[in-house]
Amino acid sequence: MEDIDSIDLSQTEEQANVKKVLGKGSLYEKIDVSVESMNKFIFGIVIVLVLVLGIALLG
Amino acid sequence: MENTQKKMSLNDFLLNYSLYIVLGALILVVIIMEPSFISLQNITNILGQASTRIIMALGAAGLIILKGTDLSAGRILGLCAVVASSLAQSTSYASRMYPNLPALPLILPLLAAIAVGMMFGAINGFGVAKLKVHAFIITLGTQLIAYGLSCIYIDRPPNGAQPIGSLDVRYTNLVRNTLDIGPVKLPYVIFYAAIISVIMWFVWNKTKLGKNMYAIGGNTEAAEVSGVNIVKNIMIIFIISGVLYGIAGFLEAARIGSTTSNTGLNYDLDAISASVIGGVSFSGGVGTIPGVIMGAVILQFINYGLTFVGVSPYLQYIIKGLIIILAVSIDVRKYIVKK
Repeated sequence: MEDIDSIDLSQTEEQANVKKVLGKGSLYEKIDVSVESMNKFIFGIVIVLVLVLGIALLG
Repeated sequence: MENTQKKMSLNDFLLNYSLYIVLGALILVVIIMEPSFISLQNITNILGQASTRIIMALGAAGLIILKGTDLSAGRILGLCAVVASSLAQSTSYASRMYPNLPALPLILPLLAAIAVGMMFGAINGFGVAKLKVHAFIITLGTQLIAYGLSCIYIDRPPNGAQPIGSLDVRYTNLVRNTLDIGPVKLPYVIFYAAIISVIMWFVWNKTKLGKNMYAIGGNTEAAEVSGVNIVKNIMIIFIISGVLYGIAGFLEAARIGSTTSNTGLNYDLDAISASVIGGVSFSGGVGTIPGVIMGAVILQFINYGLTFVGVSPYLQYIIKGLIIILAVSIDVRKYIVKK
C-alpha cells in the first residue's frame, strides 16, 4: 500500500473549476497581475483623484 | 498573527471601499463649502436628473452582467429623444419639424422612441449573440450609426440643424410636473424611474430570463450545457436595454425641453460608471438593481455637487475619468483575488 505524503486541502476540484471559468470571455480574461501590483495602482489612483479634487475644490 | 490578519482585512476593506470613501468625503467637503447644497430642492433636482440615468444604467448593467458593455447607449438615447421630441412639438410653434402634423397622443412619440431603441438593441444583440462580435466593437459601431442618423434626421431643410424645441406642454408636464408632499416637490420622472426599477428588479430576480442572464454572465459554457438558449437570451437582454434607452430618451427630451444631435453625449459613460460604482462587475454574472440605482444617484450627486461649488467642467471630466478608472481597478482587484 502506497503511503500518502501530503494532501493539498487548499483547493477543492470545484473551486479549481470555478477559477478556470471565472471571467472567461470577459474584458478581464487576459489580466495577469498580482494583487500587490493592483493595490499599488489603486492607491496611486486614489492619491491622484484626491489631488485633482483638492485642486478643483480649493482652486 | 491575529494583528497581521486584522491589518490585512483593514487594508482589503480600505482598498475595496476606497471609491466610496473618497466620494463620501467629497460630498462632505461640498456640504461644508456650501451648506445650502443639502436642501430639499437640490436633492429633488439631483433625483430628477438621476432618474433618466438610472433607467439607462439599468439597460447597460444587464449587458455588463453578460460580460459585455454598451458604448452606444448615450447616442441611442439621443436618437430616441430626437425622434420623440420631433413628434411632440407644440402645434402653435411656427418652425416645427413637421408643420402639418396634428397634436399626437403622447403614446405615439413614446412608442416611436421605444421602436428606435429596440431596433438598435436588436442589432447590438444580433452582433454579440449570433455573430460573436465583442459588445465593445459592435456598440462602438452602432454608436456612430445612431449619431449619424440623429444628425441626418435633424439637419434638414427648412429648419437646418436647429434644436427641436417648443415641446407640447402635455409632454413636458408628463415629466416635469411634481407631486407635492408638504414642502417636497417630487418630479414625475422620479416615479417613472422607480416603476421601471421595480419591473427590472422583478425581471432580474424573479424570472427565468433574469436567472439565465446571471448564468450566462457567470459561466456561458455551463449555462449552455444546462440547456439555456444563449442566443435567444442575449438577444432579449439587448432588446430590453434598447427599450430602456428608448424610454429614457423620451423622458430626457421632455425633462430638458429641447433636443439636438448632441443629446445623450457621454451618457453611456455615466451609465457604465453608475453600473461599476454600483458593484456590477465586468467579469460577468455580478450586479444588483439597488447597486445600479445607488451608483447612478452617487454619480449625479458628484456631478451636481461639483457644479454647485463652481468646479470647472473641464476638471469635472478629469474627475469622472479618474472615478471610472478607480471603480474598474477595484473591480479588477476583486477579480484577481477570486482568481
